[in-house]
Amino acid sequence: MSKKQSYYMQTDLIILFILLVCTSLMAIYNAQSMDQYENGGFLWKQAVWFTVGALVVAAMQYFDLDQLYKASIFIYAFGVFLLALLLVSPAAIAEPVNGAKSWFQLPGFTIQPSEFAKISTIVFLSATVSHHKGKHEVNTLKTDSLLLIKLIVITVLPVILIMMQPDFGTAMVYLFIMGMFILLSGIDWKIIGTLILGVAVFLGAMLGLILRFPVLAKDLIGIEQYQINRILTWFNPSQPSSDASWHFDQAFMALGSGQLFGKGLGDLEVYYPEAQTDFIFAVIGESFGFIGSALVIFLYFMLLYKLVTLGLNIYKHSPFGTYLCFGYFSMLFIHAFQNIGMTLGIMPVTGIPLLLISYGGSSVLSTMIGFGLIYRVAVEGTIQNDYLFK
Amino acid sequence: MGKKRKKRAQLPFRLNIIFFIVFLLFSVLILQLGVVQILNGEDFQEEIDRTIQDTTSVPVPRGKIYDSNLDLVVDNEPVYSITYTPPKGVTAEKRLEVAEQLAQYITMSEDSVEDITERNRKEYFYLKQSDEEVDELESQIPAEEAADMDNGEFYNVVLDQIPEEAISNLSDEQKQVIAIKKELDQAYSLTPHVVKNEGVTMEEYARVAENLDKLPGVNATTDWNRAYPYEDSTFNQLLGSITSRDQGIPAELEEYYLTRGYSRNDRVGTSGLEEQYENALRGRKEQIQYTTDQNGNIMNTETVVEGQRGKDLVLTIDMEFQQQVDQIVQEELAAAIADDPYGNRHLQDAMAVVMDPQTGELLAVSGQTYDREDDEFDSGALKTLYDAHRPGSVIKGATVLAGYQSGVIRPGQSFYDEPLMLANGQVKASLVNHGWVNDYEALQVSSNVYMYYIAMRMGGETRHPLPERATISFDSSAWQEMRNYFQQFGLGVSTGIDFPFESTGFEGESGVTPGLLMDFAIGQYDTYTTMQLAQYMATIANDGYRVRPHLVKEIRQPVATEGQVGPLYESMNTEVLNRIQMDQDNIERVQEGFRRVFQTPDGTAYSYFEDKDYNPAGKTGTAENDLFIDGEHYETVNLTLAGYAPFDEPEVAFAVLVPNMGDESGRYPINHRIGERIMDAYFDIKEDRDEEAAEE
Repeated sequence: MSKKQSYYMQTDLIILFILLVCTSLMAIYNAQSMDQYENGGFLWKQAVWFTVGALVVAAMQYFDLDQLYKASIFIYAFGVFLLALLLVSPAAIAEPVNGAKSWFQLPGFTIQPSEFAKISTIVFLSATVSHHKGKHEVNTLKTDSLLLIKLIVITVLPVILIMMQPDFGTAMVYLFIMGMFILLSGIDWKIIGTLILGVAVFLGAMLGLILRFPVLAKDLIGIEQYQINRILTWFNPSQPSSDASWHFDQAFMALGSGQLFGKGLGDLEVYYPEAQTDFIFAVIGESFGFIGSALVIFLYFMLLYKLVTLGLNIYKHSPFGTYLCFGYFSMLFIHAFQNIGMTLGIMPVTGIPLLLISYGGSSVLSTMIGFGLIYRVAVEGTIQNDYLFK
Repeated sequence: MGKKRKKRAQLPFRLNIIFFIVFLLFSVLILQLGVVQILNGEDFQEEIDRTIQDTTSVPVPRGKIYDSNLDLVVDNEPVYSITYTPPKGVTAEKRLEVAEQLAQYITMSEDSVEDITERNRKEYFYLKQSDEEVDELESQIPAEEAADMDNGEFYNVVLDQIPEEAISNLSDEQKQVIAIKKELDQAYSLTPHVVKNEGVTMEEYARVAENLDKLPGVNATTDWNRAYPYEDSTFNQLLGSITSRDQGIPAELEEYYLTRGYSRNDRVGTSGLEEQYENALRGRKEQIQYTTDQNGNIMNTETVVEGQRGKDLVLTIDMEFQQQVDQIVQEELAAAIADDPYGNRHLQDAMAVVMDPQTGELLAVSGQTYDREDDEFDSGALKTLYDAHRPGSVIKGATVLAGYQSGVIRPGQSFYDEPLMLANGQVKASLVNHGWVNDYEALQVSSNVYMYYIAMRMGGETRHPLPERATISFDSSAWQEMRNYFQQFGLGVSTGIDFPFESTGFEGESGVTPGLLMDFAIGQYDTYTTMQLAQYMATIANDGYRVRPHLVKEIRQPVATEGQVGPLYESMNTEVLNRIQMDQDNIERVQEGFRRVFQTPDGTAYSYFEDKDYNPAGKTGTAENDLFIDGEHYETVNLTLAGYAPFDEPEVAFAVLVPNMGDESGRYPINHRIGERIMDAYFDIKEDRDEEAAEE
C-alpha cells in the first residue's frame, strides 16, 4: 500500500461508520418485521442509500479543503436556493405531507432540501468563522459583534425558509448549530451572555404565550395546533388520548419492554408509526435491550469524541476544517440527543431523525456528505502530521 | 502574545465545557434508559402481554314445528343478505372498486337497476375517467367561475360537463356496477348497510362469502324467516309469532331476557307456541371467545360453547285432520249465513276443538271468523281459547253429576217436567213439557226443569212439584258448591293447556235468588270457552279423569339432515289434573244419558248421529244470548255441541261452539252439522290410514 493511499485509510472513522451502518440496517430490518411495514422495502433502499453515500464520500476526497473553502458561499447559496425553490414549487412536484411542504417528490424518490441545506450552512458558517479569524487576529467587542451578526444572518436565512414549510423541528436544529458556532467562535462572553439572556426571555415569553393562550399564539406567531399539541404533550406526558401521545406511548412501551437484553431480531410485539424513521431508537431498545441501546449511545459518543479531537488537531493547519468538525459535531449531537431524548420521554416529540440510523434517503445522503467532509479533514490532518514528524 | 495565548486557549476551554455537557447529557440519556428499560421494563412487558377477551354470540336458527304425522308446520327459510360496512374515510374510488368486484358475484334486481339516476351514471363515468380526461373536463369550466366555487359546486359543474351520449349507452354490466355502487354510497361509515337482501340466491351468498377478502367492508349474513307450509290453516294463529332481528327482545321484558343469555337483537317468540316453547325453540347460541392483544390483533379464537339449532316441536295436531276441520267449520259457517243472511246477521264465529280424551292431545283446533266487509273467512282459532260464551244445555252432564254428588238426586231420580212459575211471576220451562223424566231422559231430551230442581234442591228448596208462585228458600252457598263441581270438569278454571294465555270464562254474580242458579244449571249464566267445553266432555268420556289438553306431543333434538326429525328429547306425557269426585256408577249414568242424546230416537242429536257406526255420545246446547249493539237489543242464540266416540272406548272428544245465531225456529243446525262432519272426517281418516297400514 502506497503512502498516499494510507492517508485515506481513516480506520477509526471507517469502523465507527460501519458500526453505525450495521446498527441502522439491523434496526430497520427489525422495524420491517412489524406486519404493518411489510413490503416497505426500507432495508434494501437504506442499503442503496448507504452505498451511494459511500461513493459520494469517496468522490469527495478528490477535493481538498481549500477548494471547499473557496466554494463555500456557492454551496451555501445552492442550499438556500433549493429551500426557496421548494416553497414556490407546484404541488405536482412538492405535495405537502401532513401539512408541511418539506419534500420534492420526484419519480422514484423524494428529496428533503432542509437536510442538505444543513450541511451547506455548516460549510459556510465554518468558512465565515475561519475567514473572520484570519482577518481579525485580535478580537474586540466590535469584531465579535460583527461575526455574531454574520453568523446569525447566515443561519436565519434558511431558518426562515424552513419555518415557512413549516418545519419547526429542523429549524430548531439550525438554531442550535448556530448557537454552537457562536460559542466556539470565541465571541466574548459578555455578548453571548446578553444574547442568551435575550433569547431566553424571548423563548420564555413565547412558551408562556403558547401554553397559556394557544388561540392567541396561533394568530400572533402562526404556530399550528399540532405543534402546540406536541409542546403540550411534552409538558403533560401522562395526559392520554391525543394522537401524538398515543404514538409516543406505544413506542415508549416498546422501548421499555426490551428490558436488559432485548427481544432479539424479528420479535417485535408493539406497533407504532414511524418505527423505521423517527422512532427507530424504540426499535433498537425493544430488540437489543438496555445493553444494545446503551452501546448505540456510546457509539455516538465515540463519534462525537472523535470529531472534537479531530477538530482540535487540525486547528493549527486549517481552522476551516476545525469548524467543519464542530458544526458536524453540533448537528450529530442535537439530532442524537433530541431523537433519543424524545423516545425516552425527556424531550418533546419532533420529527427529527436519528442521523445515520433512521431510514431516509435525504438524511442518510446529507449526513454522508457531511461525513465525507470530516473524512477529508481527517485525511488532511494525517497528511499534516506526517509532514510535522518527518 | 498574551492575548494570542488567551485566544488560543479559549477554544479548548469552551470545547471542554461543551463536551462535558455533552457527556452529562448522554449520561442522562443512559440513566433514563436504565429507568425505562431496567426499572420499568417488566411493567411494560406485562402491559404488552395483557390481552382482552371478548365473547361473541352467533345466533342459531329456531327449532321447527311438525304435526303429529311429522309433516312440517313451521319451517325456517334462510334469508341471505349482502351488507356493506364502510371503513372510516373510504373514498368514492374505493367504493367503485368494491362495487366492481361485487358485481362479479351478485346481480341486482331489475328494479334497482332501473332506479339508477342520471347522476349515478355521471358519477360512475367521472370515476372511470383518467386524470387527463378529468383535467380536460375541468378545463371546460372558465377559470374565473371555478375560482368562486367550493369543491362541491365545482364537482357538480364538472358532472354537468359530461355529455349525454357518454352515459346513454352503458352496458348491462356497467349498470349493475352503478346499481351496487349506489347502495354502497348510501352506507354510513362503520354501520352495516344492506346492499341486497331480497332474492339473494344460495349461489350469490356462497360466492360473496368465499371472496370476502377481496371485498373490504362487505359481509354475507344469514337470517331466518319462519315459513308456514300450511298457509291457510287456521291453526297457524296458535303457532304465534317471533320478533324480527330489528325488534329484538321485547323492551318491556328486556331484563328477563338479558338475564337468560339473550342479546338485544335476538328473535324471541312473543305469542302462541313460539312463546310457550321459547326455551326449546331458541336453541343454544354458539359462543366464540376472541382474545386480542394491545393492538387489536386477534391472537386466538375459541368456540366456548358449541352452537345448536333450536329443538323441534312435534304437535299433537294432525294437520290433515285439522285442514278438514277448518274446511268443515268454514263451509258450515258459510252455509248458515247463506241459509238466513238476515236472521244470522250477527253470526260471525264458529269454533271447534277436537282432542283425545284419554291423553289430552289436541287433534284439531279450528276457528273461522267471517269478515262481512270483505266477504272472507279469517282464522279464529285463538277464539277457542280467548272467547267465552254461554254454552247452554251442553253442560247438563255436569249439573246432573253435581246433583248426584251433593245428594240432592239419586240415580234414577225422576222429576215432573212442567213450567215453573216463580214468586215474581217468571216462568221457567223446558222447550217442550216432557212430563215425568228420569236422569237419563233429562239428558236425552234436554230437560231444563230437571236441572232447575237440582239447582233449587242444592239451595235447600226440596218441594216437588214446586207450587205456583212459591217463595223459594235459597241458601246462596249453593253457588259455591255448584261452581266447585263445575270446576272439577274444567268449567270456569284454566284447562292447563300449553299456551301462554287462555280465558277461563266470565263468572256471573252469585245472586241471592235461586233463579240465576237455575239459569246456571242449564248453561245460561257463566261463560266458557270452546276449549273448556272440550275438556268437560273429555273428562266425562274419560271416566272422570280431567287431563290437561296439550298442543305439543314431543320435543325432538335437532338434526342437521333436512327433512328428518331428531331423537326424542322430551315427551309430553298425559297429565291428569284431577279426577272428579263423583262415583264411577254415577259417571256411567251420565255417559248413558249422553249416548241416548246421540243414539236414541228422542235424543236431541239423534237425527244426525243415528246411523253412525262409531258409537257416539254427547250433548247439544242452545243458549239465549242477548246482544246489545249501539243500544239496540238483538236476541241471538249460541249453539253448541260436545261429544265423544266410541262410547265404550272413547278416543276422540270434541266441542263445537257457534255464538250469535239468529233466534228463529228452523234455524240452520250448524252445531250438529259441524259436529257430525268432524266426527265423520275423523273416523274416515282413521279408516283410510288403517287400510293403508294394512296394505303395507
